[in-house]
Amino acid sequence: MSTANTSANTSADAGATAGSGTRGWPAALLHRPFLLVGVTIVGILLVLGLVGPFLVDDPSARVAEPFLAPSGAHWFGTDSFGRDIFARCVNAIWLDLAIGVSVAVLAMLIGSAIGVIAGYLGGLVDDVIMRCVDILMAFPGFVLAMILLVSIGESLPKLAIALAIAQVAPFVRLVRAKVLSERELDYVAAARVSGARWPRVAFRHLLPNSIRPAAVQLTLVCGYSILNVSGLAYLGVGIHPPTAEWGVMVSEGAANMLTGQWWTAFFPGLLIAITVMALHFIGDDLGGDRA
Amino acid sequence: MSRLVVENLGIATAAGNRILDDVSFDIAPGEIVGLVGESGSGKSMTSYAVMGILPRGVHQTSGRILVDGQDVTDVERRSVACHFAMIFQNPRDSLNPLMRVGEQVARMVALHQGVSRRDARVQAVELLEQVRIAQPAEAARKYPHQLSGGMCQRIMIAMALACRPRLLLADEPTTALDVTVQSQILDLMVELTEQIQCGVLLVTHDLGVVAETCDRVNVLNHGNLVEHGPAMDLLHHPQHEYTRYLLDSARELEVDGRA
Amino acid sequence: MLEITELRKEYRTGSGVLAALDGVSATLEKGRTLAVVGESGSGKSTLGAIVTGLETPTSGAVTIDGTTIDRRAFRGPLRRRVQTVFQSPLQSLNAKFKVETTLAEPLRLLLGLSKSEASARVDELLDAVHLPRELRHRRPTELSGGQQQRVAIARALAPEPDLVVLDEPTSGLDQSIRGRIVTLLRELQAERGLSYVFITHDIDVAQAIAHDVIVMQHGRIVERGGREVLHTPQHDYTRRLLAAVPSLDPARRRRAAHATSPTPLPHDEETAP
Repeated sequence: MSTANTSANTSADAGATAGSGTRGWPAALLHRPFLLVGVTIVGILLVLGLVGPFLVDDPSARVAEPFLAPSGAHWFGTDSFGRDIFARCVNAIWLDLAIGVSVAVLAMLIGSAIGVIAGYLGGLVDDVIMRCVDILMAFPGFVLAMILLVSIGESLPKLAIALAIAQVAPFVRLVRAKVLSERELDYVAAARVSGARWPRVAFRHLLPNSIRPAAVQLTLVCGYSILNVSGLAYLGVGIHPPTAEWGVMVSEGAANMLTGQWWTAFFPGLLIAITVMALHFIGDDLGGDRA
Repeated sequence: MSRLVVENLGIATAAGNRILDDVSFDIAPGEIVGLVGESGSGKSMTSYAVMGILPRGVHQTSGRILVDGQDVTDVERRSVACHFAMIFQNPRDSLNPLMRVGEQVARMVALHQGVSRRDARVQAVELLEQVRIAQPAEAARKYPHQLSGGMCQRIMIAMALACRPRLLLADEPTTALDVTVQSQILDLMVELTEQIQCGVLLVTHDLGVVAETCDRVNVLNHGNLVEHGPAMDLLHHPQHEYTRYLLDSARELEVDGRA
Repeated sequence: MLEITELRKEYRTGSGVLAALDGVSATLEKGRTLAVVGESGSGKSTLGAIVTGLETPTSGAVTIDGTTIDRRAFRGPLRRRVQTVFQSPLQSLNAKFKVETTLAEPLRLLLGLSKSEASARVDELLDAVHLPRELRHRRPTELSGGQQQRVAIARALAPEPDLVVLDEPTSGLDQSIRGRIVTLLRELQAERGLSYVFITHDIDVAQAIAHDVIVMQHGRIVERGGREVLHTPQHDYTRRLLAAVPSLDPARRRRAAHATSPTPLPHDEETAP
C-alpha cells in the first residue's frame, strides 16, 4: 500500500516540475535565441571545416594574381602570394577549433581537479593552492603562455599545454567555490559513512556535482584560446607561416592594411570574432538563468 | 463582504500539465481558512496564484480572484492598494540580509501609508512591539542573521501588518520553526487576525495546526478540492476518503505509540 | 552496547566559545531505541554527528561494545557497524548517482563485495525497505520524498550495521509518509536487532519509536527516562515542549482560548545561531 501511494506522489511531483523539462531540446532552443545563434554558427563552422577543404583550392598554392580584391571567383580575395584567402580560412577552421577545444578541456581537467582538492581538503592545502592560483592570475594569461612557450619550446601540443596552464586559474576558483558549498551537504557526510576515503569523496561525489560552473567557463575559454593562439601567432610565437591559421593570416595581412588591401587581414579577423562570439553566446546562455 | 473569493481557479504548466482544477473557496473577515494537502497537491500554487507570483512556466487557465470584492485576477493591473501580504516558510530567506530589519519594516510602512521616513521608522518600531518582540527599538537595528527563526517570522508578520492587510497568505509559516516557537507564532497570528479583521489563508500540511487555528478547511488532493467545511466538523467527521486517509496517517503514530 | 560519557563539544565563535554539548552521558542497549528530543540549538544533532564519527568531541568519550570511538577507529571495522540516516533525503543522496550506485557504495567499500555480488544485494536491500526493484535505475530527483528516505535507509542498512543514528529522518516528509517510515524502522529493528539513536524534535514520532528518551536543551540533558517521560514529564521544559505540539483535540483550540483570555505571550527563548 505504501508503494502505490508514494508512486502516485511521484507522478504528481513530476507533473508540477515538468514545465521546462519535458519539452524536446529543439523547442527549448527556440526560446533561447543566444544559444540558438551560438550553436548554429559553431555548427556551420564545423560542417564547413569538415567538407570545405575538399571543395576549395589548395590553401598553400598560388592560384591567382596577388592582392585580388574579393570577387565571385575569390570570395575573400587573394593574399600577397596569390593564395585564395577563403580557402585558407576554411582550412584553418579545424586547427583553430581543435586548439581552442583541447586547450579548454585540458585547462578544465587540471583546474577542476585542483579546485576539488583545494575546496574539499581546505586548510593548508587550500591556502597553498590558492596563493599559487593568485600568482597565476597576476600574470596576463597571454603573456604567461608566451613565456611558457618560449621556455619549453614550440610545437602544437606544447602550445596547447602552455595556453591551458595560463587558463587554469578560473577553473580552480570556480570549482573550489562550488565545492565549498557542496561539501556541507549531507550526501558528502553520507559518502564518508559509507566508507569512502577523501579521494573518492572528492572525485566521485563532489567533482560531478561541482563541475557545472566550470563547464560554462569551458566555452568561454574555448573562445579565449582561439584569440590567444591567433594573438601569439600574430607575435610570431606558436604557429608560424605558411600554416593556414586565422591569427597567422591576420598577422601576415596586417601590413597590407596600410596599402589598401584590407581583405587580407579582415576576413580571418572576422572569423575569429564570429567564432569567439558564438562560443560566448553558448557559454553565457548555459551560465545564465538556468545555472 | 468576503476578504477573498476564489472562483473556479485553474492553473497549468506551459506544457499543459494541470496543477489545479476548478478550485473555489472564500474567506470572511477575521477568519482563518486552512488549505491542506500533501506535497504536490497544489496548495502552495494556489497561494502563489492569489498573490500573483506564479513561477515562470506556470499560468492561470481559468477562474477569478476577488480581494475585498475587487477583481485582482489580472496581475498586471494590481496595485499596492490591494492590501494583501504573504509570509513564507523560511522567514530568514524572505528578508533582505543586508538591511536592518527595522528599516525593512519602515520601507513597507512608507510604501503603503505614504508617510515620511522618520514617521515610518517610528511606526516600524510600534509594529515590532505589536508582534511582541521584546525591546523593539533594539531589535530594529539588527540584521536578519542576528535573529532567530522565530524572530524573523515575527518581523515578516510585522511587514505584513505594515500593508494594513485585508488578506494574509501564510504558506507553511511555522514548518521551519521549533514547536515552542511555532506555538507562539500561531497565537500571534490568531490574535492579530481578530484584531485587524483580515482574512488568513493558512497553507499547511500539519492537521494539528489546522485543528488549533483554523475556522474552516479546504482539502486539496492532486489539484482538486476534495472536501471543505468547518475545521472541527471536517477533522472529526471527515466525509471524503482522502481526508480520512490524511487523518489516519496523522493519528497512526499516536495509536502505535500507545500499543 | 553504546555508552556516551561526559561528552563535550565546543565551537569557537566570533565572540568566544560556544558549548554545543555540555557534559552529556547516555547509554543504549542492543535492539533498543534512544530518542534524543530537543529543539534547534539543543545540541542533539552534534551528538549524532559525534556518534557517527563525523565530528570529534572536545572531551568525553563514546564507546561501542567497549571500543572507544575516534577518527582512527572509524577507518577500521567500526565504520561498518555505525551508520546514519539524515534529515533531508534529497540532500543526503548524491543527485548524480542512480539508486543502485548509491546502495552499492557501502557494499563494495565496507563489505568488500564484488560488483556482481553488490548488484544482487541491492535488490535485497530494496525489498527490505519495500521499494520496487525497478527503482534501482532511477536518480534521487525521480523519486518522491518518502522513496528517497527509504533509499537512504537502505544505504544505512547495506553494511549490516549494529547501530544506526537517525537524524530527524521524518522531518522533511509529509505527515502521511511519516508514519510509514516509523513503521518501517521498527520493523527493521525487530528483524535485524538494530539499535537506534533517534534524533528528533517531533514528539509524536519519538513517542512512537522510543524505548528510552533523553530531552535536551542548550547542550544538556534536562530529563531522561523511558517512554513515559513524554506522557508524564517532570521537567518544566519538557512540559512546555509537549504543550506546544499541535493536536487535533478540540479542547486545544487557540481561537476559543484566545477569545476569552488574550494572555501576553512569552518571548522566544532561542538565540540566534
